[in-house]
Amino acid sequence: MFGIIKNSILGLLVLIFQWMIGDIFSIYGLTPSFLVIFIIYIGLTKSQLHAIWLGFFFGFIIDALTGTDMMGITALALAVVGYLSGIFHGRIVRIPVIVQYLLYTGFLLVFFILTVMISLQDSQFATGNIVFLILLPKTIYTLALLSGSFIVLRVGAE
Amino acid sequence: MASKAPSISRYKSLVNLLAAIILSLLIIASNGTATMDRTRAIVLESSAYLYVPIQWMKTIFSVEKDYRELQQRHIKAQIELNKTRTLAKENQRLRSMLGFKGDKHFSVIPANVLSDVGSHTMNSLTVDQGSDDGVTLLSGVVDAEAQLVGKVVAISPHTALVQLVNDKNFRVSVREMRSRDVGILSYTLKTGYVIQDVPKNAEVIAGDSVVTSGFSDIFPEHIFVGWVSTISPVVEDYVKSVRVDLATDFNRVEEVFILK
Repeated sequence: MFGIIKNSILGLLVLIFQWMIGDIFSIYGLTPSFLVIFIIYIGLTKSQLHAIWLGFFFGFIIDALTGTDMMGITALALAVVGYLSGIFHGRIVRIPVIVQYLLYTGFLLVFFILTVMISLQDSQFATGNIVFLILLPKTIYTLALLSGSFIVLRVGAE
Repeated sequence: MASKAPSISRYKSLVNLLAAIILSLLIIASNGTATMDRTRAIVLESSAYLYVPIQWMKTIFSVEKDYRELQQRHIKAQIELNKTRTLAKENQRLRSMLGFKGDKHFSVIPANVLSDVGSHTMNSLTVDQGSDDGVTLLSGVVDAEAQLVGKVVAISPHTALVQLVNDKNFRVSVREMRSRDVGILSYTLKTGYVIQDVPKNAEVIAGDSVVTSGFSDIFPEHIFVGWVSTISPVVEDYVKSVRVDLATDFNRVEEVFILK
């Protein structure tokens, strides 16, 4: 019980950080997602169930705050990422580092494919432009920040 | 029975994921419904309490950068002002030589926007300056770029209600800068901003600037209104209807200036 409260408070702080000052980290209009890093962290180190439901809940709040037409899509994407990262809960240290990073990239791609591709499907952008100008740069940028955070937090370290 | 327990717990995460996916899909399917709009409003209302102190902190951090930017803009504006002053003096001298009367002078009252109210027919905003601060009924209102915002239609001692240009009851006399033609600008939801009954031979083209004409006591002349977007002939080609793109972005108006 104490764990879920602690994780919720931590998640709330990340959410506030993402929503209010996340744009400070914006490069050429690409803002990384700190919330997905948090959900992967929870899935890998705390609990798969916490990751699923915290992902759903905070994703829903982000959807409500950003005024997207697809309210619920971030909730769905973060719940899926929470589940996927939770599969490796407690086992990530035994996986080779290169595979760890491939997994992180996979989690981020799942998240950004669901949020970016679906929300921009009816826009004037061509699919190629969405992939190469938005999806991949956002994934790489968030992966860089995730790597930095996980080194500091010693996630995946032997 | 005992042998089933481990298999259920093995699928616990999957069941939870499915539940989260079904809930998300239900939320996506109910987008645009009154319940979802209400839920979104509650989240936004709650977040507003958090936003005030963080906005204050953001302002503190950006003060120096903003100050430098404003300093640069101020210098550029000062140079432009000096040029304009020289031209104004020259103009005044020439006008007095020709026997014209002098221009009207006005001062401004700065005011913060408290709230805005919009519907299909009525658009207005409330500001934090009222009759005690010198605001009078039917005073013109402009934004920080001296672009047309609206006019005061109701006042209390500490607040005033400003009728915006995009209110369907709002009318203002405007002048097209290049051709010098004059018309009445109005707004409807269907047509947008339109100057009606412009003479057929008026040489108005898309992109021309539109300013107030000064033919009223509410707005002095040369307050920037917007740009001509399209021109269409009406009433068997006797007059033109000129559509205008308004310069003021009402979504960004945080403070206004009431003309006195």
